Amino acid sequence: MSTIRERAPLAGHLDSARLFLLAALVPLGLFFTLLWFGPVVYTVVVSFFANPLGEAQFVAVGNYVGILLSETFWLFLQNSVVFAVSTTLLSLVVGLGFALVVDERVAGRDTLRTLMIFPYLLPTVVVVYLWTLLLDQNLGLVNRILAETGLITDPIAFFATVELAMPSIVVASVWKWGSFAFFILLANLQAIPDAYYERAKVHGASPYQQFRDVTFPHLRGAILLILLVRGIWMFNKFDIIWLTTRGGPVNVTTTLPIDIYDRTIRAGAFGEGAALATIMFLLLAVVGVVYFLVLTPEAEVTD
Amino acid sequence: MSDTPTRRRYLKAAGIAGIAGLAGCAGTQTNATESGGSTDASTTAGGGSTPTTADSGGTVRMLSDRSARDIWEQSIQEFNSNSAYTVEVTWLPKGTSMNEQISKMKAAGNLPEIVFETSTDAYRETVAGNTAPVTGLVDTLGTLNPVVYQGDSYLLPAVTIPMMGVYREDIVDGEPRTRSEWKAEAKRINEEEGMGGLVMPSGRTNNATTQVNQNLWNGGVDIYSGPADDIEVTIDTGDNRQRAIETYRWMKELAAYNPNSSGWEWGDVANALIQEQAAAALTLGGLMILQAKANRPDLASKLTATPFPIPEGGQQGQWWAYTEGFYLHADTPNLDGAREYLQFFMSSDYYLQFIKQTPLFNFPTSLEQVNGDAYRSVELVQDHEKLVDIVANNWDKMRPVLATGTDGAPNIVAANAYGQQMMGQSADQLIAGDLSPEETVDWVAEKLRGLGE
Repeated sequence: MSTIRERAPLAGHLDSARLFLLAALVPLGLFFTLLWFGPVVYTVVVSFFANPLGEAQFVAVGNYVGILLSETFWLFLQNSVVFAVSTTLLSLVVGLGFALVVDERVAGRDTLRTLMIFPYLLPTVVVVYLWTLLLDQNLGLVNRILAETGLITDPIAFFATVELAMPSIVVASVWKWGSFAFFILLANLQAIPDAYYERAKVHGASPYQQFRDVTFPHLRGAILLILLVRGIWMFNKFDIIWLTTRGGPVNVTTTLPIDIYDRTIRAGAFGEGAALATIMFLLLAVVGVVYFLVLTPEAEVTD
Repeated sequence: MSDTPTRRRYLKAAGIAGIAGLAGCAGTQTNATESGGSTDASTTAGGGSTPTTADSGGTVRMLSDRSARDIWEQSIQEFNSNSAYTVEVTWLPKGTSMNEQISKMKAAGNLPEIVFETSTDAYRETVAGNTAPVTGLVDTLGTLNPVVYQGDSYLLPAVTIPMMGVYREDIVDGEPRTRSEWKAEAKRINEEEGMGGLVMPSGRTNNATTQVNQNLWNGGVDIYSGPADDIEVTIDTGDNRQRAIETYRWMKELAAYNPNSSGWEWGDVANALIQEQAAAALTLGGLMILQAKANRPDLASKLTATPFPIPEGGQQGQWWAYTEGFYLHADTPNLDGAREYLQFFMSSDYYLQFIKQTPLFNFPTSLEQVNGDAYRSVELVQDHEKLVDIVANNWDKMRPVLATGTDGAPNIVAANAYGQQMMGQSADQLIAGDLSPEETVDWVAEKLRGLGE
């Protein structure tokens, strides 16, 4: 037989545990309100104005319409997608490859694991400096080696050629951020019980079949996480592109964050910059929602 | 039924919120400088001094780049010990442009009284109503007067930096002056010496944008016309169109005998000369000589100065000269103190020390000072007297890009085009992209008109 308990007065709920919880959550709530929610709302509001820092004029969705109708928006969106997808997928492949090697009991695995963390620890500006020294047309080591071995006669302008600029930035980016995938995948690989592989071998599974039927299913959740998080980070990436090519030559490496910077800081069009930032926000939010609805990464945990 | 959230529901909610968070953080990051409220600067145009609330002194803040830091600091120390005002300087952070830093300071409501900037940026700020006049200082000190707006002066110029070419006299034959001579020589150098002839940079750099501008001027192209309040883009109208097409065509032909220099700033050009990838370059004053002297002293003595190439029968009517100096922010509390410090600095020995730190790069702001013993007696100037003579002999042609309206009227469209490096971008469309010279002229005309709207 069920009994109906009387609702205790609110004060009765505020025992020490709840007070502690409240004390912990209030600063967090204030932090998010002031430093996250506030700027987001401010950005959205500003996006409906022209010259918001001066004599602001309400233009409704004028900034949005202008951006979406501009000939460059779709090119820059395409560049952003190309950069984000290629760097994310290549980072995943490189990270997975190295993780599989380190997971095996091979000589030098500890050294390799230690080396993998270094690019991730380096500041982006240092990475850019390093890759510039490697690929620069005048000072670059790669050009020097290619020239001295007779493979080329004229130096290659890796960051200044229409065909090579984006691939060059992608390579530098994968070098810098590939270890993110490596460490996540390695941790997941090392969590797979050896018994699964032993049983697979007993049943005559080839190395490929072991990877397909044992390794990959256990990595699926981690791979989805990497695709999501790394994809968003790379879609928003500004520093490495700006520091290497400034979006050139002829806009082939101009992505949406570069365009936001151009509009906001260089052209002083804060309203347009805010509108473009909001468009990026919405694009990523939609991608994220679709990701969770279609790929159901949470099933990895509950299953 | 229990309404306790399941782990699956929690994960889904947390995941979507996380996505929104990541996207939001990224989306607003670039606009972080907007936070802090708007500024509502009001102009004090009309000349004269602006009343301040600090007759008995106060703090005067100055934003400056990092050049000659020790000289600035010494002068400030001396001024502070003899004045009721106290000058404090903010050095431009590395990797940050002056425009970016001012945008940030403006957003934070922390504008400095004095900014060391180009005349172009000073004019842009003036038109926006953000600056205070320095008319009295310009008159008293007898300097150039590059930013005049509604009868008042808004920039106290401290340095002039004229565009100048340099070439390797041991590689380049003769003394090429015209475009066709340079094209033939670049071809020969490329084929016989295995290096670039004359660097032709493109892209979103100050280097490329100034060079394209100067080349168009030398081609007789009037890019703009009209009074300050009604600037018209004329690069593609009348005879200008054909002259601009011929200029772009020459640039494209010359680029064929050079390394790919898309995105090259001044430093990249210097590297090309130092690494012997190119025999000649068009840059700022004696910058290349100074760079070579620091890194390849053996090359420095082989570099000789030359004006920008001209078409056959043409002449260089306008000569791009950066003018940098001080402007004052109107909405700041200690403008009288700022003026007092500037008068002190410009009248002191510190000023000439500042100029003489990079003597072939920075020129004084009057012809008398350029020809004066204090400047001419510097060893580096004596070693490269030809360069200084070229500057002195063409002094009347020197002008900032700003003064390119009719009869030298201030030109905000040109200032904005410079700020967005539009001319450099046009060269990128031409050289790195696939636009023809004709299409490039149409492209840049459309972009320039967009800036004027």
